[in-house]
Amino acid sequence: VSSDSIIVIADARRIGGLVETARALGNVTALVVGNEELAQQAAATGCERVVLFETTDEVPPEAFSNDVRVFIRDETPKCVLSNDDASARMLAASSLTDLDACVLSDVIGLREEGGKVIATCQLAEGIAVEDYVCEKPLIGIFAGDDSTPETAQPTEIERPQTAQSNIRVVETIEGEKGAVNLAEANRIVGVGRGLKKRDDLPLIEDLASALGAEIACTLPLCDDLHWYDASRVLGSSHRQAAPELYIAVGVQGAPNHMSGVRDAGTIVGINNDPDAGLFRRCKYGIVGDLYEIVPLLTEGLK
Amino acid sequence: LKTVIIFKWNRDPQDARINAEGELAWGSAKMAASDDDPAAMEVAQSISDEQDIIALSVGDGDQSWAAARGASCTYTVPDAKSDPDGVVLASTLVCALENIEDVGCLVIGDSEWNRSVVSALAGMLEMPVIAGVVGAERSDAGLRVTCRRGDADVVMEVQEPALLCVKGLSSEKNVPGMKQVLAGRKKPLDKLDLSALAGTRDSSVQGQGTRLPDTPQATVFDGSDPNKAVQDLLAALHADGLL
Repeated sequence: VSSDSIIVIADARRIGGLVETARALGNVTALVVGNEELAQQAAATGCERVVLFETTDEVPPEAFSNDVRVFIRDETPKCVLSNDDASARMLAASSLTDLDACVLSDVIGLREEGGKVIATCQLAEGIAVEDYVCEKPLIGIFAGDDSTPETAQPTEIERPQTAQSNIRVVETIEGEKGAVNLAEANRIVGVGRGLKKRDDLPLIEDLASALGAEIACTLPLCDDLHWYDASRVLGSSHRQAAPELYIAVGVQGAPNHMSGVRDAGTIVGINNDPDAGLFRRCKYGIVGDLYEIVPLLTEGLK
Repeated sequence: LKTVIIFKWNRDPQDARINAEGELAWGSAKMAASDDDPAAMEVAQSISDEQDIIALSVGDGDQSWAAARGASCTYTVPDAKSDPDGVVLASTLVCALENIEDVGCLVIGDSEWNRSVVSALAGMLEMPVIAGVVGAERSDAGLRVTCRRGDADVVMEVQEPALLCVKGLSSEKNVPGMKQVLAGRKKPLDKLDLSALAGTRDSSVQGQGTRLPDTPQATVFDGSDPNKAVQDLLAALHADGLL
């Protein structure tokens, strides 16, 4: 089976969205650089092929860079797509020279017209989109939504021979688990620097309690103000979460923070700045004083 | 061997504006340091003495940024072109690197502002690439590079030359003062002409014009009447089955 598209998978985020988007170009091969469980997830999405380069505690994804490069080169796909995971992006790009490819970021859609791939991409944190006609094979970094592919007969997992490089993990330092596991939370209330002082945190705690939600924060509240530990920081540099409902209070909406809740079902923003980037990313918002809004919202939820 | 820190290679998306017709404009926005650039500088300093740190930038940003933070000199390509195709800028960086001798390690902030350039750079350089880097040090075996992977930090050993793509975990702790800024401005700055760089690549994508996103805009309630705004929000959340 030819690989019209290859999706490079190094973590479990948005596999369904990757497959569905790549499907627009034809057959999809999932190239998994991870463990068996991750490959099984990919195999359940209906990809035509699933190829596993199996990592271990000692062998990181980076060790397979040349294996990935050679595999993609030999398949000559129209498109190589990955999510925004750092390792996956670098592995996907390993074939750039062989394919003589172009590289686009924030791809949310693909289609083919006249034998050319056309990628729809977000620009400037999503305030605009643009279609790009690709004159060469595309290496794309996916920023679209996830989806749940139709349940299919799991694809057989191929395990080709590899010639791993000598990059090895020599030490693993487990992080402190902290006070909360945001990845498992169904509802989260996030707080940012719009909250003026630490003594005001009960406002947020009451709202979270009324909602049955965990509390998260932006990086400055941990890093600069030390109001919360790092386990509560949402952002690409810290924790990522996919709650059904995320209410962001006094959060400006910086990219680092918002990428931590990119997979949230519904985002609600409360901020007194109508130009806050948060309002570009939420479904509902209230432009107003959080000190007025939050107590009323808490009461309304009770 | 020298360590090259690549900085200020993209504009801050917050500086972009869009009008009702969906036309995107950057106005006078210049190349800016991302949240990851200071972290990249810290990594460079952790593996090299300052005299062995060379800075490389592109475009029209303040080129003394890295020098003020310890880089011994700076190369820049003022007329480098930004392009949606990350290969364009990445190839400029690769060609500019030809002007720097004895490069051991390349360090770049892996900014969310633009994922395409760092990815393209990784694909164009024929050297090991380590992503998600949060720290590094020298050891007898080469470089010991620490990467954040979920809740854990993993330490890998890699030989130079290597590209380290750095993720910033916090805001910059030691912002240089005026003395360092002024000293940075006196350090050597070598401007490279884009046309003199051999091997730069043209864009392989053709944009069809920007437009507003197809996704619906947020429903924003006016909080000047807090009671009504909250009631409207609760009604919307109930209607969506979220409460």
